[in-house]
Amino acid sequence: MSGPLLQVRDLHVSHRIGRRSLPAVRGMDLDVAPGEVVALVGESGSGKSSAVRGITQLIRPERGSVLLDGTDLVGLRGKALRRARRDIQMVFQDPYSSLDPSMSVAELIGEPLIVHTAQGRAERRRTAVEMLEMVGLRAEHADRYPHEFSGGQRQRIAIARALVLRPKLVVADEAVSALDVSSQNQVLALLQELIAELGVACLFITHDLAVVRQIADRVAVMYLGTLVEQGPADVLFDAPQHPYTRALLSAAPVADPVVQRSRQRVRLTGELPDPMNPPTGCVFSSRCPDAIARCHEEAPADRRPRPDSSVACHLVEADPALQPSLP
Amino acid sequence: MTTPLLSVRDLTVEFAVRGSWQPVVTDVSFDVMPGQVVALVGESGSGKSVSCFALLRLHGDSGRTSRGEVLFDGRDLLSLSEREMADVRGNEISMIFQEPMTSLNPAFTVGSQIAEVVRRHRGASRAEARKRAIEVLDLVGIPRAASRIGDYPHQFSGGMRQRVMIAMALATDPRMLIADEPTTALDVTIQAQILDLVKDLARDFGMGVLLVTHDLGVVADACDEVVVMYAGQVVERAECFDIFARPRHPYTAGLMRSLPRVDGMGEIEIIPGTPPMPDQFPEHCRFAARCPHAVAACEAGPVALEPRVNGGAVRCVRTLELDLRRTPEGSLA
Repeated sequence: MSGPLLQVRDLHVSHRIGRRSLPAVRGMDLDVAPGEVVALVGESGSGKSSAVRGITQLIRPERGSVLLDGTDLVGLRGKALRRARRDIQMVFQDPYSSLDPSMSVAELIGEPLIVHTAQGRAERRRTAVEMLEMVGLRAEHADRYPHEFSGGQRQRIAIARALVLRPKLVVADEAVSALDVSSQNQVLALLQELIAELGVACLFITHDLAVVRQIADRVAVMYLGTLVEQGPADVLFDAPQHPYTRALLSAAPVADPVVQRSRQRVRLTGELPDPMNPPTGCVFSSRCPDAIARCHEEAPADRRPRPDSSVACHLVEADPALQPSLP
Repeated sequence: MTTPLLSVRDLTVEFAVRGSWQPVVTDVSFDVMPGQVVALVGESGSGKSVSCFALLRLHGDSGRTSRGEVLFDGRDLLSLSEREMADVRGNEISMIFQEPMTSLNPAFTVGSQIAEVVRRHRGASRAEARKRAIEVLDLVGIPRAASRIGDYPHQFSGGMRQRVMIAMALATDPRMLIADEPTTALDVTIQAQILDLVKDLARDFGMGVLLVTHDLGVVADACDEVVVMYAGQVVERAECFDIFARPRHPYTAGLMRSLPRVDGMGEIEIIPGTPPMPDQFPEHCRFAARCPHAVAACEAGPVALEPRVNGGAVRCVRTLELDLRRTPEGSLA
């Protein structure tokens, strides 16, 4: 087993609001192996989009490192950053605003080739047409403009644009959330097929847990700027450990009335904390139904109930073989 | 047998497209009983939002209702004067729209916007209206409601804004609530709370609810009856448990199989292609072009909405010969 493709360590991302600083990501560790699909889930305000921006260097992280294939992206500038970005491409949520309406489809898909390769005009066009066919569109679409396409087709174009450089990692930020049910499934299936075929790893950001279950190998759950739990998708869905993960999963309705109406929901108490002023101790302590005194005083370290998962909760038993013994 | 609170009969809505009237919604019929939550399900463009707007007569000048009846408590809303209709809207029937940011006025405090509704419809005094605003904000779970009524919409998060919208809709104790994708923009934990609230109001106060959604998880959680729309028509209508257990229309079955489920059960099957646009609606079955079970008879002529086995109605010529249940291993015991 080779090392991780993406290795994020102690990532901190802040936004400046007036004279104050809003800590959006506060110490995140995350690995993505080559070819692996990792879903980053969390509710609005959890910091998942900020984390993505910190990882892709769209925002300069305040602290921490983002190793892509061994190169730390944090602190890279100019040409070096541009070269590194070739390997990490994005698909954004809204295909209506992420594609320049004044560029034809061939130009949109070929644009990354201008920046990153020496391909000439004719060659770029050939590559763009190849990509179009790969995403299920046709060569004659090459000279059309974004407004002539449906949302699902536009997202296919955005995927072609992201994959044209054959990156090692695709970061998809709510890439299917804006689409209708049937095109959502078609685009999701396409993305899944292409990343498998090209061996691209994918960091998939979403709030839709049913989509996660379908696409992800591993899942990382964010709450108020920190990762509270991560592990293989099956393990996390079938036996969530962190009280927040349990609450989140139990709130997502199952499309079967017999199952749905017999489920027990973990109800959250308390108010959503103010990110400017996070609770002391565990970030989730102010809303946790299981919190004990210790949770309000001391932030829990990551524990490892299994070799391939970690949970930040005082109440979770770690596997003693995987944990340094306590003094 | 109680009489329906809302009874929609053969509702047909047309929009002006390039100088001619184009039917966008055709012959939509369904009932909502007091205390019942009815789901109106379909993809975008299926006509579910247009139907809601039309039954409240909110479709504007580019649209017209060319046929049908909308009986609310026995009165035909389509024959009321504009003034009488304005008294029904927001008072007896409230509507929640999908986008809470554009439905609230950014220039007024949320308290004054809720109070305005109460004063308009209930003739309440300023003080009474303010008290009612605090009450309903509290009811929908806005913390410290009394201190937040002076805040403006931008000072609330998306979930909180949607709760404000719901509070406004409930402020006059309406007998009927029409909610167009009320939880689509919300996080799942907030969605669950809002659905609980809607269910409680239906159960405790006998409020009828028409819930427009594309999310079958929401339907499974909250609804009593399901109306499935495709390309401007009702294709199937049935009791919630029954339609999930055994859909009788291939589109309903396809929709159910195409959704990933959070419990990981069932294989995903994708419906190929896209729904037709209104100017391409065929005379025959509108789903035939995408239907895995289509035969020559499906394209022979218009298909009527017929009574369905186990109650409800279905629009499919092959419904009696098809078994559209999920395979036994895909279903839960």
